[in-house]
Amino acid sequence: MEFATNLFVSGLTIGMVYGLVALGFVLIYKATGILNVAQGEILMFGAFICYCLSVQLNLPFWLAIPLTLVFAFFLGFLIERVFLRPMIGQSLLAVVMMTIGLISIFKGVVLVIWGPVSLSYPPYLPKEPIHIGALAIAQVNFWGFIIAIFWLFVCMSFFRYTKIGTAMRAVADDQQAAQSVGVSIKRVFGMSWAISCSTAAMGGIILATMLSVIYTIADVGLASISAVLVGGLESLGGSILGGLIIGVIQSFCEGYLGESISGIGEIAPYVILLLILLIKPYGLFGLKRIERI
Amino acid sequence: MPYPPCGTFNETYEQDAAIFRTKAHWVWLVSVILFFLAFPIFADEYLLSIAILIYIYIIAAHGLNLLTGFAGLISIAHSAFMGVGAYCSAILVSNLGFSFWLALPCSVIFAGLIGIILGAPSLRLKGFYLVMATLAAQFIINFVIMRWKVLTGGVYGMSVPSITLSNMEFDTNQSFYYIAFIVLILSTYVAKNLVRTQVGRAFVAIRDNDLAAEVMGISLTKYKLLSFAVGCGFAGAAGSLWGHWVRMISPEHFTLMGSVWFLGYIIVGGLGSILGPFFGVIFFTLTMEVLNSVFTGLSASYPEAIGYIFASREIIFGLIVVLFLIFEPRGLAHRWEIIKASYRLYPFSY
Repeated sequence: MEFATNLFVSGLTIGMVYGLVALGFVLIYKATGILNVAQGEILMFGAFICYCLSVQLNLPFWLAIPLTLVFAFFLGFLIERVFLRPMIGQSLLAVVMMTIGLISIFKGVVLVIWGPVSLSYPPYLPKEPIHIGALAIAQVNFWGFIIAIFWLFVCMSFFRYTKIGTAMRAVADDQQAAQSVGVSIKRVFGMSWAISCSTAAMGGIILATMLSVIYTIADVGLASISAVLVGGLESLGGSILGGLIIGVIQSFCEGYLGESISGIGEIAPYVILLLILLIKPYGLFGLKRIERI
Repeated sequence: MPYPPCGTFNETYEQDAAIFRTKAHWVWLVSVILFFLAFPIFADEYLLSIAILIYIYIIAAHGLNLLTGFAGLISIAHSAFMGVGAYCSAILVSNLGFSFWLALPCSVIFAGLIGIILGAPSLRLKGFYLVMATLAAQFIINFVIMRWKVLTGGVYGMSVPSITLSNMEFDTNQSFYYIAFIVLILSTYVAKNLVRTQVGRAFVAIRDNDLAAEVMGISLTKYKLLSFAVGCGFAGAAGSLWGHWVRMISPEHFTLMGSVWFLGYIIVGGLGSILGPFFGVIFFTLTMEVLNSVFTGLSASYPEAIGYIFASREIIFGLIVVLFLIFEPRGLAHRWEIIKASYRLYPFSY
């Protein structure tokens, strides 16, 4: 039983990172209708920027995190303006390939600047774990979980109560109608990329603290696509929930089947992905699109 | 819109349907084929190996072009299907004692069947959802190859015997070149004629609007699965050839990045054009060879430069794809058509 509980908790913590990345996917998809495949690479880039600020520039860590988020925010604007703006009205393949091209560029840039080595942040959290009842949870996992939930509520209230958030929902619903009541679609697109990149960077910092600062943490981006699909491409809360579900399933697969089939944990998200696509393609909370000719 | 040379009038249906319409076309065709048949006589080992690599990649890219460029179904599992073909052929030849000439069609059929199975989600899904389904297919195929150690040798890979025909052995680049060349010609012939038939037109109709195509009486089930079968079959042929050429295959040759590169080939070459894969593969392979030689040259004076070669390949690939998507989304094949038309129409280009 204790084994199962431990698996459950470790699944929740990795699932929370999946959830944050999935939230980034959903933020962009909701407003612009684009699935940004490069989300994982932006996450990795954010982790490296934080490393650069905190270790190479010797800034205190509490300052490095917000600076990273601000950097990612403007990076998002830049990506939208330079790479995705010309893709408006282009075919789906062009859009997918554009974000895949971004994957290559980000990966290459990180490899050129920092190389394929494993780096780590200065220890900024206390070593001893947090005890909840009989459970011992590592500090980073605990705070990561809190941040993910907090960020979800920030995003949700942003969509619900602020003016630009309302504009973003309007654009997601009907671009032409939104434009005709004076919503600037360009600004909404830029905003959603910016927020999504900040989210990814936050996830990157958490993940890099849990593992290490290395370029392979970008793989979490592809794995969390299945989290997006479990929740549905349009649902903010669904993405976090999907992330947690995927994380827990992955952790249980690794724990119980890992000895007989090695590497089952890495492949599990993709098997779930394929099954969901076959059974319930629009996810738990997604919208089913009705097409007209 | 292709412009025939001035003064060409089609008076019969045969003339109208001909691929090589004028005598000049035929002269070009024969001389180009003769040139490439004679290529091993004067080319060195290095040039030959690049040529073989280009041929094999073009065969696979033809498949992806039929699937993605003509039928509009995006697949990022093409490299994995190449792996299916390579392993199928290798296992048939080395474990079951088949000859290569039987194993090649078998691997085409097997890769096509796997393609049908993993392409089945395309019946319900499209757009991003289909992209994700093929992404899952890529990882699952790679996982199966890696874990089915009894058959595939796992991560250590397996060695593949060379091709034999009675007592001839095709184990040098000079001899293998001809096999790759012949398969390339055959596959180009099949691809070119497939897209001119009813099947090819059905693919294009599905690409343009699948609901409208279904309303017009095109069976989506049949043609979507057929396009997966054909596309993956080409990949299987390319994989089989590749395995018998490098003689040592392992799962790390058939990764996600490989599949992404195939998409890059057909986008840069030109989607929905038989010439597209030729342009794309040749352009990328030559660019990367130039990059390699630049870095090798640099490493003479800066030894640490060699460490950046992988990263800069990634950056260059990404930049080329991104720039093409922004500035020439129809690819090099479209540019070629424009050049041809302006040559034909000169001096009255209106």
